Amino acid sequence: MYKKTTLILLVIFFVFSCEVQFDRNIRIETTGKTVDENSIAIPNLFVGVFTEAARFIGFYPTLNGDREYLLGSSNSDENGDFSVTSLFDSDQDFFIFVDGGDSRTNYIYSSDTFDFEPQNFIFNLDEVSLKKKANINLNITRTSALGTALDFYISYQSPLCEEVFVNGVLDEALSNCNRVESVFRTLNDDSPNYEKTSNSFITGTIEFGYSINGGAETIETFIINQENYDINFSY
Amino acid sequence: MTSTSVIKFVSVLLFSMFTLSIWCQEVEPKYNNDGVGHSTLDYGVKGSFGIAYNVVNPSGDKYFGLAYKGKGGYALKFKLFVYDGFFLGGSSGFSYFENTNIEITGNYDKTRVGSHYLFLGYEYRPVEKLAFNVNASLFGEARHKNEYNAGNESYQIDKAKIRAFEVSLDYFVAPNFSINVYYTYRNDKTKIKTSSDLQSRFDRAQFSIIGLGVNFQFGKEAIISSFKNK
Repeated sequence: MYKKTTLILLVIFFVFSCEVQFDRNIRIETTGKTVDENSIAIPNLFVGVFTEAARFIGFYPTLNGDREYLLGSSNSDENGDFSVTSLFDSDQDFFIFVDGGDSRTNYIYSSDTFDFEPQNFIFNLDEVSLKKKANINLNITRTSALGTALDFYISYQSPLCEEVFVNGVLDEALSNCNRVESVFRTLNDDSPNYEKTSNSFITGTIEFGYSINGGAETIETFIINQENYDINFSY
Repeated sequence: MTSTSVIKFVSVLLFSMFTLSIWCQEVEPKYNNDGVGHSTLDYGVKGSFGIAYNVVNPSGDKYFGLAYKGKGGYALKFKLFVYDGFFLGGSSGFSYFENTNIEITGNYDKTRVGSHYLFLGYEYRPVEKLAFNVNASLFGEARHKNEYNAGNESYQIDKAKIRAFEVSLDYFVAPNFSINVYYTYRNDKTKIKTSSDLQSRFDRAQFSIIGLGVNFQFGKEAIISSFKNK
């Protein structure tokens, strides 16, 4: 009798545990405006509200781990304004994704909603600035004599922007928005030239510092003003 | 006591009365003066039970009317006459909808509305073969299961208090069997919490139902007159 009951309970668990249920009786509104780097409205951009949830089969999560679920979506209108009606999920991985498409940066508003409901059931993103993507093409060639060495670094802003909010307040430490990324290298006889393309955005800043043969360091700063920003340097 | 508990309690009570009324029927067939035999269904508390197929039509300027498309449904109903033409009854059924605009509602593509409620009504029977009924819900709850776009692996539930108004017509093809057509207007009050901007969109679930079904009648007297005659 005990075995039968256990078996029945297990079958029920297997059948029903595969499903994910979102919060009952709630709709969330997400509002904001998509603008470019010059604060000019960008129309027709996708805005999606997502949650991640583990699907359990029996006692184990699926092999793919957490899965993203789209809870609601819309597009910005001709004025860049958007209002998304969505379901809600009390979850540690709840986020709003503003898709800049192929030519612009994306934006992620991330929030732990496990114990948090937005005030008046609204996430107000205000102005979401989606900058035009740009490539930084760094090309360093050696024109000097053998034995000349170059120490350099290049720092630039990443196009990724994820802002993390805790109880509706931005947490800078957890966020990762246009964070500065750096590359340090030494060029010498073994590897005299360097060529690399990095991703950033228009209006982003670049800092390029170098030192030849251990001499004084020179630092140059650039502001990206075109989609393909070339830095050609020879030593 | 929650509304669901009340519904269950009253449903059980009515069903018990219905069952009791059947048990209390005379086993031996009775004969009128004309010598015609009558079945046991012709005695005891008067009532009916039936089943119907529904055509559902979302309406109004709320989220049902703006985004949903009806996909049919069915309902089981029973009623017991309390006094004269007044009756109490219960309805239980499901209506199915397709969501055609997820920007209005959130992301799910179909909804199954389970409705369980009690109603009070009046029947007018001008001729032997016809009966007109009107009824209104007393209390009841609807459960909306909204299924996610990607399949049946995820869902969300909304609940609503049922407000139903119905008119129906029975055409008796036999003394205890009728074809039933009805129109029900539903103006359910949802429990959805949302922003003040969206509240007016989600505060009601409005749709109408046109149903076609069959009813089986039993008994002869309303509960009160039945007790009086004992």
